[in-house]
Amino acid sequence: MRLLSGLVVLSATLSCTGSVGDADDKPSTTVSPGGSGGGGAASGGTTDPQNWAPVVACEPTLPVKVTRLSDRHLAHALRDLLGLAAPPPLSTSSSSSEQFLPNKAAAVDGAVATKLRDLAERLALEVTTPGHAYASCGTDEPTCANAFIRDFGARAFRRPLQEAEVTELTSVYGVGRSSYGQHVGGIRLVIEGLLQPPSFLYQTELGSGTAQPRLTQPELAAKLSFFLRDGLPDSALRDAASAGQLETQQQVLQHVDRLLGTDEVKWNVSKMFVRLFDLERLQLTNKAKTVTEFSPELVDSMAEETRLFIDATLWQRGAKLSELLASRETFVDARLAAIYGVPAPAASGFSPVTLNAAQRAGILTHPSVMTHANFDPFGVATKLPTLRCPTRGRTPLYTPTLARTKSTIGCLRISCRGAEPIRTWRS
Amino acid sequence: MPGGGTDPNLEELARRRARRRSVLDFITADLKRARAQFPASFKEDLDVHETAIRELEQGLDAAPPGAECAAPLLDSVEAGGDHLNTLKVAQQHFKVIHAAFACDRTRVVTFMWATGASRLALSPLGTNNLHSTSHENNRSVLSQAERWFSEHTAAFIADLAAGTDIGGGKLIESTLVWYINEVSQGHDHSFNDYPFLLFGGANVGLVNRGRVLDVSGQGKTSNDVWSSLAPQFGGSLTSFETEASGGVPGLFG
Repeated sequence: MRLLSGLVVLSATLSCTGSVGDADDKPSTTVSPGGSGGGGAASGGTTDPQNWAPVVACEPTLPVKVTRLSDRHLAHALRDLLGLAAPPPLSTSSSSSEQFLPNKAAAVDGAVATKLRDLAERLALEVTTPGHAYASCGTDEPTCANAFIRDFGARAFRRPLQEAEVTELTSVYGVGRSSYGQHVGGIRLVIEGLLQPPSFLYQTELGSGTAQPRLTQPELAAKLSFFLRDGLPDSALRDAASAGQLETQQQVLQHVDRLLGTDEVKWNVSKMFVRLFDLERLQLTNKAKTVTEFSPELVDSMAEETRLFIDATLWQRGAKLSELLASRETFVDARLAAIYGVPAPAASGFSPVTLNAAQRAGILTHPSVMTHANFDPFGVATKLPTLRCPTRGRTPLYTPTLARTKSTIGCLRISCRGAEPIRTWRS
Repeated sequence: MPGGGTDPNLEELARRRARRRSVLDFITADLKRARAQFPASFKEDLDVHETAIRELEQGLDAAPPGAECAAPLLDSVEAGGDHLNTLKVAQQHFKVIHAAFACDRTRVVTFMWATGASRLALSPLGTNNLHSTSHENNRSVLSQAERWFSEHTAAFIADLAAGTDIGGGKLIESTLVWYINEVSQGHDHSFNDYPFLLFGGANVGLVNRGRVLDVSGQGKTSNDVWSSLAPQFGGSLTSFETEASGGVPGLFG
């Protein structure tokens, strides 16, 4: 898990060339000729013998970044913010909720703005019905309203509100109180107002604006949380950001490790790999009738193997992230045992097995990934850029991690056509 | 707010406009702050967002609530006759539907161009009895007849797109038009591989408009379309007397 921690911190704070997964868990910076590794200014330091530009250990720089929340993140943010039982269904961008890297969400045009307005009005009504916590005020109403605006606003915007914003929202509260009626009506309109502006809809990485730019602590908390929790920062992370306790790498890692210890984050991180290999759509895989060993039950077994493998590798064995690409340890049931050419488990269900190191290595050689990646031959090139189908006369499967197996991986019967089996070892 | 442009309804609409204006003012102020902070490369996205908010504001300022809520001026037309007279009758119905929606007197309308198994004559298009022509399976004539009905239906949908809703915005924004034929194949009264056309504005929940969603071979029926669209209008349909499979995934979102 420390490996993953390193990955998170690097992505959040550095844009210089870094290496992920060093054994000592320290993010390392490397130098590039002419600073071409995305690095910062170079001054002094070593000079390449072939007259390259002088290079030094690069200074971290922060690429200023603004992105509209994907539908998945937006729905999860609404769930977290409003305490909903489930994320509301949303369709404001072209990205599927299961995409690993969502497409850039298009700008908020008239249709999206209208959808967001209607959604905000519906949800605000839902969470201010009698009996809901927002519906009551124990002290005087102006105090309640002010406290609500500051707390709810800070959670929605993932940063403390500016005083101007508090003033404006107090005005919104007044209109709502008058129009909807009573304190709860004011709260309802404040909620409507906070679910639609850019500060809620866009994730910003603008930094602190200092000489050595870094993410602000609220920005860092939000980035960590959307990555690990797939939603808004929890109270501990929010409090830490507010108290300035996300300053050091150690402080950040404490929260990363805390979050990685929770079931929801484990589930989400595991789900990242399902999304990465598009395995949600594995059930759509089909083969020609001539491939008699193929069946929906076999597809179920493939999916379950990969789920068990990810779970065991990441969360039970405490293995390095690279083991996902290199491990020979996996799980088989009777159906998959026949595919792998290993003895079937004595009992029904799945049992651990160690595969032949000359034939298989990690998740990329799982029947699930190989079957699905070849389901759409044109998808192979786009989803797994280093994976090429040999039957189309391209380069055999090759990744840096699997370079040593390059010559043998090609012997796996990778097929680009539905009429051919795709996942058995050809001796 | 069924009941039309009554004083209580118009007062409630005025309150809604005040609330929405208050929220839009806050969004506009936040957009202004964002423009000062966000990188220049994001300017185009903010421009689009700002335009969208401005359009919502203009929607509030457009026609006063209920401006189009008036009894329609109807022509005197006798029912019956050929397709041209049928069109005149239909256009009176369309005026009534438009007015009923604009006044919010009803929210559901069913309109049929003619009776089931209609023997309508569309002589210039090659048929004096549409029912007989459908059993003859004369595809060329049937296509021309379908086109004629569709073009005049499209004019009604365009009228909804131009008309102002009582709460602001255009009528089509909150209206779903489900346009279907009586059967999928006339000559054998088939209901298989039935093409449905759904038209609607931004508020009716259609996912990715301007597309074809092919669910053939998945056992979907018109009941499944009803199941999927009901929640968009605050309803729920879970059981039917006839075949259904719980909805059409991906149609509404």
